[in-house]
Amino acid sequence: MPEIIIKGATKRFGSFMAVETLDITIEDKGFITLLGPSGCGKTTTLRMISGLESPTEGEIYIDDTLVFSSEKGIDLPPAKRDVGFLFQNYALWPHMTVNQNIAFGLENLKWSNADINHRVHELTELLKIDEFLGRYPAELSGGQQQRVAIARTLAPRPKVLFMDEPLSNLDAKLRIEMRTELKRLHLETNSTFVYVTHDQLEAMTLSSRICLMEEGKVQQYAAPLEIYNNPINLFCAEFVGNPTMNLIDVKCHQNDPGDIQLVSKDLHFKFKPNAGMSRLKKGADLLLGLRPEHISLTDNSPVKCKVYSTLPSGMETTVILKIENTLLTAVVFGGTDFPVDSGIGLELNHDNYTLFDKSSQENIATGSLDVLLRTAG
Amino acid sequence: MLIAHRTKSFLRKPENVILLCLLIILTYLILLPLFSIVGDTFKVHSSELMRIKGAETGDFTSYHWKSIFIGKYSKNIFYKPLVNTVLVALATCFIAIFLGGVFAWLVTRTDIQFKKTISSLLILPYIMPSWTLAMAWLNFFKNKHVGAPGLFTAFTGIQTPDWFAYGFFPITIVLGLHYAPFAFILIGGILRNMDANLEEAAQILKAGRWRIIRKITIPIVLPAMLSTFLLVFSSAMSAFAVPAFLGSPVRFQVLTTQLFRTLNGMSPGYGFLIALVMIVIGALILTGNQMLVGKRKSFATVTGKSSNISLVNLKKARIPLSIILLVLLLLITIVPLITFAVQSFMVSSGNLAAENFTALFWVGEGRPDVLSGEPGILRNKYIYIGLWNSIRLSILVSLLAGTVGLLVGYAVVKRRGTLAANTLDRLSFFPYLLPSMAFGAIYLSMFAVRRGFIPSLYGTFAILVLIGTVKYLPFASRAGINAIFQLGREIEEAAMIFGVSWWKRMVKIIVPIQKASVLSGFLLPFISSMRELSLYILLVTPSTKILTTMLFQYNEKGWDQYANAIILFIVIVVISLNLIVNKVTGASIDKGIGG
Repeated sequence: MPEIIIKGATKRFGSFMAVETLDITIEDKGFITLLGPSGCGKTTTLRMISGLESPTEGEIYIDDTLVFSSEKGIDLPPAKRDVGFLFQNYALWPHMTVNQNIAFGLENLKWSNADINHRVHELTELLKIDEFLGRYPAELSGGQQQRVAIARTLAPRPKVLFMDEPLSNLDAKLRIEMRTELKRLHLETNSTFVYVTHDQLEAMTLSSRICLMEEGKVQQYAAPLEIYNNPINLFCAEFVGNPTMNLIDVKCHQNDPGDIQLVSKDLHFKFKPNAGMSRLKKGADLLLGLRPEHISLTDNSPVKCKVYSTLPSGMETTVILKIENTLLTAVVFGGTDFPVDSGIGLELNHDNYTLFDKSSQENIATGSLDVLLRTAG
Repeated sequence: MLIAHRTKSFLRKPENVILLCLLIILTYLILLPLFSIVGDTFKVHSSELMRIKGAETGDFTSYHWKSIFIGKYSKNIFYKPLVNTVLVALATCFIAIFLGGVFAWLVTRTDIQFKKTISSLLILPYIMPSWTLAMAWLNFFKNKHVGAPGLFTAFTGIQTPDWFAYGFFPITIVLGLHYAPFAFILIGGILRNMDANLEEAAQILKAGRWRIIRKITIPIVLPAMLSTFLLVFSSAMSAFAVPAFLGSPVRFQVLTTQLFRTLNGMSPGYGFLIALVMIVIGALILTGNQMLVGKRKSFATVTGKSSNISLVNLKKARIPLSIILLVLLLLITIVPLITFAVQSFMVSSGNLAAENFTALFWVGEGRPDVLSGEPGILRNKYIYIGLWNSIRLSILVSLLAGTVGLLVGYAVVKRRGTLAANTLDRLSFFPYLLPSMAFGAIYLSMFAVRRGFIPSLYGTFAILVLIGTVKYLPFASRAGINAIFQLGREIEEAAMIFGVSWWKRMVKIIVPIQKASVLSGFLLPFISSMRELSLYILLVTPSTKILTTMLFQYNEKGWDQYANAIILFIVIVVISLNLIVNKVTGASIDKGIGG
């Protein structure tokens, strides 16, 4: 089974550390996303697995075959790794027609002309580009070029398909359409997809697992919802989710088990962890993370705030709230709007608010909150 | 009223005024001479009265056409030189593209060492006058045909055969080496800008290294290669100095040498006709190139981040190959310069005895028994006059061509897509295709007499400036178009909104932002003019002598020491200027070539 195992892969460009001791296992038939800000090493990782780039150190297995090992001096060229690669800019050969582009890989495999023809037609029908067979890439729109590139990549039936930000050159509408189709293709082709993107929404919606990277290091490798609900550190919490998580600077005010109190400059909370947690130091600097959809608005809450600004989108409304000097973002579903500067009450009635250590930025606990009304003084 | 209004609003835009003025001026300076030269081929010239019986100067005659194309001697006067020219140009193209292409591939696609050094050394043969290498060849390989033997014979005692020392073989080698950098820059540019993913995509799809080169790399580079081919072909065709130096000892004639002989001799009518033929070939090539470049549009692809392609690992061949290339380059760039220096200290070349060395040619006062008592180079006032003329001429040409080129760029980009802009674009490029000597011949014929308010310019310094400016306008206008094009219109429009005047926009915004490309538009004409011979040779008179024409005369007289010293002068001026400008501004000659 084409499972991909990466052990301690490191890539240095001169003194720049692009990827640092990467250890991940990509399960068979998975749809894995390498996610992170630009320059985090995700494309380099993809290129290392596919063989376009040689790691400085480490080992890579594809389907139980050792394809790269710095110690044993093994470095199989991409052609021997049985992989497909979809480039961000499609990399269609401008001097070849759509037909020639798709057939090229099959010709390299010495397929017979009849087989090649059959396969090309099969793919162009699947991707709805059969009417463009005789055209050159320059005569196609971006979306059509994208489909040709996919057809070319799929033609030799690669077991593993690598995709480097394949949707980033498309307009918003087409991107959503292609997202749906990529997910279908993943099922239909029955192969493993490794997908690079910097768009967290794309990663969330498409993948079975996300490998979230920053500065060449894996931050968290888990299922999308696991990362969303239980981010391992501040970076993961902030990178995933839109609008981003609200973060409030708090200090530990009271640290008795069963009565943990957190104080920010404007608010006072009581925190109840869902599971056990190590005892906090009194006065410790912490960050409290609240997902926007976990802040509810209601008129009859004693916690009063002001509507600072609203962004209604029809399906949902993002409301920015102001409590004294703290701004909080909340999301209200449905097409409601709120007058700016009006007063409203908020409620924190969920149980997945996250507490981070400010210095280590690690997630220390998840739990529920009570807002304590500030007593004078 | 409407028309008056339209004209007024048309002329309110500076780009329209520039466009209009330039079209008129360039039509006069480039197109009109073409008609004038056609007329000259049908005219009886005073030196031909002897042969064309009963004719008066200025009479209409078809004599020239008949004797060039179907006459008794047309084989020797015209067809043989034509065939030689075509063969030389073809072989030159082959050598230049092969060498340039291989070097370009090695530098952009393999892990060869000394890449920086190789790239900068490789530009040298193009910066240096083409006849540098021709002279070096003579210094090394000349045989008893022209008096003293060359260094090769002096060291080894082996007499070089004629075919090796003179004629077709050395001419193509020298021209090929001279234009190889041109191919290197053009092909290398495409390879460097070519999306590496195109090759990687083929690699992933299991194509072998050779198949990738054959099926992907070469087809994509092909338009650039063809373009290089056409440009090198037309340049090689119009080369004069190299065939003159290397061909004349064995009477190997090409069109340019034939042109020089006939125009300077008894049959200018032949000369004008040969010039016309060369211009027609040049125009055909321009058309071909335009068609190719037009087709290249289909090669536009979606741009994305283009990653570095993994370089071909040369493995064991890496070090030896790197060293061989480096040595080869040193052999064709630095070694010739050393021989010039050495030869300029030798009384008779080929004699390595100590008493044969003297500083006489540099600082001597001139001895009646050596070279007609000509004083040493550093004491020779004619050399200083020539040097001053060369520098003065090149500075003026560079200032004029650079400025006009920038204006052309501005007008063409601003009015992009209109017929007038396209016409100006092509018109300003056309002189590139006019063989230098033919162009000189045109100006000779056109400005020998008073025309309207323009007095006869023959023998003046102004005609040299004029022809230099027009001839090098293509370089400058390419640089200008690039500079303005890359800038985009928003930058200037932002200033227009604030009501900044056109002049201020140019001086304070456009030029400073694009100073590197703008400067290369000035630098290229300077360097080209500094080393130009064939363009000026028909137009200089004793009072307007420049270094290159003096060099040619010294060489014809066989005064090699002076010739060698002058060539050293020119190369030093050109290279140090290029270095200084490059260091100070980042502009460099290689950015403008062929652009």
